[in-house]
Amino acid sequence: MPHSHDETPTSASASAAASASDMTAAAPSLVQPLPRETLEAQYGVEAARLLLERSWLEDPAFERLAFLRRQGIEPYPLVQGVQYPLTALRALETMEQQPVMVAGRLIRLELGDTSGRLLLTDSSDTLWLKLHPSLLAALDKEEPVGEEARVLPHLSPGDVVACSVLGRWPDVAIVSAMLLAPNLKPLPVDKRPGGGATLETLVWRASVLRELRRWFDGHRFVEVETPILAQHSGLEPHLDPFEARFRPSPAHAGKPVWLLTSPEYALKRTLVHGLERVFQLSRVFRNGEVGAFHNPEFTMLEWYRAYSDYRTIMEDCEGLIITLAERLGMGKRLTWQGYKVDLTPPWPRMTVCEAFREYAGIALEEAPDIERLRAAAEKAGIRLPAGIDWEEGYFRILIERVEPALGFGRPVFLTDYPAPFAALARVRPEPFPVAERFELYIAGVELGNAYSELNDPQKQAERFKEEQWQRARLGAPVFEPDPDYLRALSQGLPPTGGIAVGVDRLVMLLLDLPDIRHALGFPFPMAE
Amino acid sequence: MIDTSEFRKGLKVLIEGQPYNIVDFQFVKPGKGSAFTRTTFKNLLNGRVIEMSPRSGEKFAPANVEQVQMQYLYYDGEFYTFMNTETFDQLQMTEDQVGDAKDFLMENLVADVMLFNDRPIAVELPNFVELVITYCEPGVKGDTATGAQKQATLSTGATINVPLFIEQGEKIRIDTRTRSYLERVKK
Repeated sequence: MPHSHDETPTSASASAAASASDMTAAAPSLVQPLPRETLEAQYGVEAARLLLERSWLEDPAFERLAFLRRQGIEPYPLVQGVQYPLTALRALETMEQQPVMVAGRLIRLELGDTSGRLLLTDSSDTLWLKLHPSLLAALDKEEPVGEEARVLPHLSPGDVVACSVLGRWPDVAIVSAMLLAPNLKPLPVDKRPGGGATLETLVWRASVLRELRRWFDGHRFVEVETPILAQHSGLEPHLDPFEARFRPSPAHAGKPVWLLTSPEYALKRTLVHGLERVFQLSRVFRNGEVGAFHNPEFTMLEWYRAYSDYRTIMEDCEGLIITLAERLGMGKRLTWQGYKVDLTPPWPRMTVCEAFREYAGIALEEAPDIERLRAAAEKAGIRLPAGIDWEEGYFRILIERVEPALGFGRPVFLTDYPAPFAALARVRPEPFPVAERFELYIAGVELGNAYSELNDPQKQAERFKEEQWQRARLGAPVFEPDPDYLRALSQGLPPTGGIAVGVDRLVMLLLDLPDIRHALGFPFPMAE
Repeated sequence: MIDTSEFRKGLKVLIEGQPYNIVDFQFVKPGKGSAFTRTTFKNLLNGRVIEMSPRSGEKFAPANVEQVQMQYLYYDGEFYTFMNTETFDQLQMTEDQVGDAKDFLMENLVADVMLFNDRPIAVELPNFVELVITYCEPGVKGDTATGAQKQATLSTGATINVPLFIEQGEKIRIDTRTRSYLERVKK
């Protein structure tokens, strides 16, 4: 057989004690801990506690390993020679003379006196394979059972198994069986490796990422990778970046580094130096955000176009999302949680003021302070809590009346935000100043946030100062603004449109998943 | 104090001095905006449900609510008297406090009494109870397929719909959550 064991299988008479003593010879620290006091003095109390903790070494599930070794079966052999997926057995012609090795997970096992068969599955197929008469004969023999059959009586469903198979489909039979990795603990049947997305979703998600890159490549965007572990964080008052420590060195003495909430500063710096279309797919981090639409670590897609503005970005959104839907075989529509959305462009554009009037019955431009906003809200049947400021009043009306109504039937761009919510967008000085910013909504889900990027370094410096004060008033830590970004703006950022899109939410919408945790392979655990 | 990030279903908090149960909650955060926790609270005193969106990080006092297994003893025309099955302490509840549970309260039934600051506020019945029918029209044999029903009066005085074949004096099993007949209990 074309395989080899990493150690000679211990003979059937070898005892568990013998193999245990092999282990201790290799790793004396497993059995000869120093006294706790010595360890605590040397490594500290917590390290000593961890060094002496043994519960996971003594897992009762390991007993099966000792049992198998007593039977002369090495449970984790080194194997070469699994050349074919299971489904190849249906077509291979060479195995009439020469057995081929296949492998997979054992689903069922039937072992009788005169016949026997295994149900095996791998990613290609699920097959019943019967045992060759020679194998049954080997089993029948007096001890010791030959190596090719030895493991059969000790297999359990869930084990990962290799088989050498001889014959011609459908008349094929196993001539030798071997254990590759025993299943010691039950495997959940739902195939969610990290308690989040199913295997099927993970495969679809990979298609979404591939098609995304293809679209950007086709539109001559350059994929850029900028740091997520960065020297300076954004200052958005309501975002909380994760703080990390670089190992102390003279250059970093006392200064934290940050896991970024968005890679936008570095991306825009590439435009200052001459790239004109860039995109980045990266993990970003936001502390404290966990829920049906939030995971503290998520995948962000950002793209920027020089010599352009937020209007072009809207067209990009339409083109990109329709292309994705079509490539996934959905045509120009998607259905999310029962809501049908027609993706045919152009998608409606609606200003924030229009949306407040339409869905909340409030004329935002006539309510520029909290007293008037409260009165208008009261008239519209929304009670704003006492003691809040205008901004919070705005957000409460937005989340209670406006957002839940957006993007049903067709996607919608919510555009032209009141100046206080300009963030990094340019402001148009109309009677009621608005920022050239939009958010894209599909079926009530906010998918992305875009700007005509603010490229005036002086105004940007003022915004940073305002944000520092806002952070202080909210009790959030106050940071130094990124000097490299300010310098880059001073060197001249062309007029630019840019957007950040939550890829996990996009996957939710495209694959009709109810919760962001179903779109992520390994979601952040949430309190039960 | 309980932060919104510690919210979970079934958690009991105080709002304006009254105990509320958290029925449902969701983290919401408009783009570039502050975070809220959209929450459905149920008032444990009057059963009213309210929706509120506290700011994330807002703190609530825990409501001192506990459930104690108690045996129902008797009704004296004004109060329902229960006894703690461990300490044998007794307490009295008004009709308002007992609420709809009174329809299925029979003597010696063991139920969960909810206490708020050590005062009873509600009774939670077992999911299934067995009660005797004190009055109904005579039974009709056959015809069990159509699901036709008639009214029957229980020993507690409450009325419930039962199948036509049920006779006066029979004991039946009832699902207290749906207030519906389940099956005949054989003697």
